[in-house]
Amino acid sequence: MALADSLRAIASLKDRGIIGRYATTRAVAAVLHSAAVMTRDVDVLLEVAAFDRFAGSLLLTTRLDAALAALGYSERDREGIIVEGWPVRFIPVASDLDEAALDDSISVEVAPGVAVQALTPEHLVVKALLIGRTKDFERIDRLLDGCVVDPDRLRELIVRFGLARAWSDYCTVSGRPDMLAP
Amino acid sequence: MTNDADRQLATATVARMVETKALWRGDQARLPVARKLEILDELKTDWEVLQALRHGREGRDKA
Repeated sequence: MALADSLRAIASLKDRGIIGRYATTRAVAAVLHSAAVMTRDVDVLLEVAAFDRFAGSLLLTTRLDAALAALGYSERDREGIIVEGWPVRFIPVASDLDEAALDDSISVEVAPGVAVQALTPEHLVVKALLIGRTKDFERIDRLLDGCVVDPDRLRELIVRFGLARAWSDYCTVSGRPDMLAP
Repeated sequence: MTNDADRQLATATVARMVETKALWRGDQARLPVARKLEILDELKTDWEVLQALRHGREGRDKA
């Protein structure tokens, strides 16, 4: 049971038609692009259609749980459903930014012949800016240190989603020169 | 396991995690994705060992 197996299983959910568009996000997606921090779970961004609605607005994972159980994944812990030893948390698209992140997600090969969708480095940076905790800023540091962030794409996202102030705060806190300054 | 054995295992586990993280910092972005995923597996396993030790000790302390 390994993370690569967990990612393979997640990719197979799409291949089997159990989920539609998806992308790994947060720590695991950051690992795929550059450096990483230790993580104990896998976060997967999913389009809302993959969830069941209850009372109009509450999203449930009933169908997803049933499909995963049929594949042998029915154990849970407080982080998520256990897939090949790793807790997987399915996160519904909740904003235009999430929608854009899913649209722009890219395929990353994690093992020979196995690819998973992942948020781009630029989307990981803007997601981290939005959340703004210390560990999110550290994730931005690692992505920038890994030289995997395209400044033009990042600038476009920051402008498009009104995150100039958050970016400025990050530069102040991190002590980094503003790589997006004209 | 005795407290001493727990302590030795915890020390060895933390040392391995520090070593793994140092490797991470060295040339991290250029490591193959498969290796990076293995490193996350290793770190998670070590973390679980530490958690088990912590809970085991809490259980003994309560007893």
